[in-house]
Amino acid sequence: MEAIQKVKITYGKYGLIRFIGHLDTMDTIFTAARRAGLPLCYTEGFNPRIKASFSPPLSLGFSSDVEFMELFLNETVAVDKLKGSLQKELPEGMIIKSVEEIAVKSKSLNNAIEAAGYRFSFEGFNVDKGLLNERKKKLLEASSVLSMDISGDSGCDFVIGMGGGKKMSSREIARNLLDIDEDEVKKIEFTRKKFFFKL
Amino acid sequence: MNEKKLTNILSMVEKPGRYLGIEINSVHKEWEKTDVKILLSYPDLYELGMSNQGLEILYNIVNERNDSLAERVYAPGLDLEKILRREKVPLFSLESKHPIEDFDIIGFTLQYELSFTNILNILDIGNIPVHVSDRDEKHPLIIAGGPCSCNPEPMADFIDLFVVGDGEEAIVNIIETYRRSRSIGRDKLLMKLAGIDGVYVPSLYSARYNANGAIRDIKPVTKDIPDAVSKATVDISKNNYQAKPLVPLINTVHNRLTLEIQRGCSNNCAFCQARTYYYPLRLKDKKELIDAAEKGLKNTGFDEISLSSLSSVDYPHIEWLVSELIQKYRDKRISVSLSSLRPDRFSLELVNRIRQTRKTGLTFALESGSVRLRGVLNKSIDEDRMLSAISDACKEGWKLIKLYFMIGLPTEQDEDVQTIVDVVNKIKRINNRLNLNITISHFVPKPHTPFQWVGQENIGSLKKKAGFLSRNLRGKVKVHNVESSLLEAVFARGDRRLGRVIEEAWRQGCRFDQWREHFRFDLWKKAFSAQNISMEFYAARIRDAGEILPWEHIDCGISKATFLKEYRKINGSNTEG
Repeated sequence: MEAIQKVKITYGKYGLIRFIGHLDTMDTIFTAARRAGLPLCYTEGFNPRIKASFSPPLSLGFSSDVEFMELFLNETVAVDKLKGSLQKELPEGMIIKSVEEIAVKSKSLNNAIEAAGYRFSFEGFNVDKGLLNERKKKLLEASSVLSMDISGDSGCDFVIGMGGGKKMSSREIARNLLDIDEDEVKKIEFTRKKFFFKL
Repeated sequence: MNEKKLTNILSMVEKPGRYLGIEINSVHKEWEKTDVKILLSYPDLYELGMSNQGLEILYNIVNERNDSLAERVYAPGLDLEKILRREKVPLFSLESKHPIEDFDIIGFTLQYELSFTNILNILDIGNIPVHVSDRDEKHPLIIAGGPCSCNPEPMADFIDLFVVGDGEEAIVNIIETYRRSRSIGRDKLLMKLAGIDGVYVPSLYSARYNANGAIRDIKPVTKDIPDAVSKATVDISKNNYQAKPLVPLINTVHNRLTLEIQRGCSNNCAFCQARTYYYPLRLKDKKELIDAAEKGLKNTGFDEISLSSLSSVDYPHIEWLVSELIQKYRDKRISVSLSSLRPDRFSLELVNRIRQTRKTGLTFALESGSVRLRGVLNKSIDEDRMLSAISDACKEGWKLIKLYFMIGLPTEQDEDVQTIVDVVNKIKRINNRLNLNITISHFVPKPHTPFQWVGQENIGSLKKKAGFLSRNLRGKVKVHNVESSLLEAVFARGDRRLGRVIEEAWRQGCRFDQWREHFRFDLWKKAFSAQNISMEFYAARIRDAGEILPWEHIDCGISKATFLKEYRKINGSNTEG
């Protein structure tokens, strides 16, 4: 079945639902889309899958303001109506922020992402601004961290580039910045705040 | 539990998705305003337990009532257990995260013997004494049901009350009796509950033993208690509790819509306990099944319907049902699957019809390669018809066939084991490129079957046979763990003296015994010898026909006399008594 509409659905992930991983998130949205009765498109072959693409995997346990999926439809649906009917079927904590129509033939937005911004809070940690600034400098020199803002007292905002530099996960960055161990970093709640797209 | 504490715990475990309790169609009722609080538990990992339909039926029945609520708990993974014990956090329910000790009733499903230690563990992490005798008014009532309750004796020390047979009406009767009598004291309450159809209260019975170790008698300790408990049986055509199945948010064993199409079985395979436990055969109305499929799909968004029963191809309207479902849902890319097949043309045609999308393997349980042994098992398979069906399947593009065999069957000789190799060779000869996955399991004599008197073959001999098959079968061969099969045989036909062993093994660290990677036979052996109890006595010993069996007072609908007649037919003159 030919797709005649493509929509970009941007959603947030908050609360307990952040504890399901990327593949499970996809399946959860797919079953929700089927319950909502959306006119879905399927891939050909023995194992038909719903035609869609998703923003890059979010680590297990992370919240997000900016996850998105691009969904192909075989009938035209008003975006407001789609938003309402899909939201009703999503589990607690998955919140649709926006639904926009995009060109059916457009390339997946995924390929255009060059960086992602994250935030975590310093709550529960003793922070020494001087030490933090030193470690921040090292991180910026030695890894794929493109920028970092620790000017506020409450937490750290940072941006990780998709290419170049030593790959470091958000958790490793927090460990290095706060000088804490693996178990302590697990208790930190990270939030993906933003995607940066190539123009 | 406060949210911070909960998220801290979830952050530290490998699979937090197991413990969220926010699945689609999960029910969250007001705790304070609900009179009877029931916790339902499948005592194994979430991924396994979520596929159990029985628990889900009870979950819906309880939650539809205004006076009660049902929540769930599964066995916590070892990582979560470690954290809970370290931080002294009692095990909590999935939905409201209440400590499990706060519930009025906790119900476990007993699906297989090797989950017994998990039940003790769940109680213990939940701060609840494992022994019936150590619990009082402030503790929940611990109940259990499911197939293993047809011989509940090994768990008699730990379970206040068993429900034998179908739970749909029993749970309602338990709730109503509980509401009326919750304040009259635990002992009196149990007496009242013992009057419910299918309910067995083990503490109201006592067992005495002969010098040779066999049971002398099992009798009620007071009057007003029946000598034997008959299992509960419901009319399944009436109720339809499948309309709002739970949709897990993580991948589980089966994320699909399961429709029970019949309960019971029209076959009488002699090794099969389910045949008795779910007896008699009862059918669901075919039109109601179509309706249940429609509602179920709408409420879940699943893309697969599984038609489930002990022998789905024997459902009288199976062809009609399959055609209707396929026609109705083809455009929505929803597939249909059948839970059990016979190796014949009829099954193959059914599968060909539903297979339009997925081409996974065909599965046949042949049990034995020998015509004579299949006769002993009362499971006749026409080999020529089977081979021609497989030959057709090859031509139609099937590339994988899964075969199930058992070894250690009653009266089995070395020639019989050789016949497994012969029949596999015949199948392989049809088309050499056909992939065969062969699973070999060990025969376990079960209560309430014609084989309840026979001895299980010893480990050494079973290992030899399995070794022979692994060397000679042309296909991918998987052999069950023989020590697990031995323990299964011990507990399947055990009596209440085995409670000591279960407790000992659990204290030594046994849990998740069903999982190869967690199974510790060395610890089990130690537990048996520490309690001075012999495994052979329970697993390998041939019982006299006159011996009082530990499940003698549990009536599952097919009489001992019937089994004895079948047993004698099988064994000819070998049988005493």
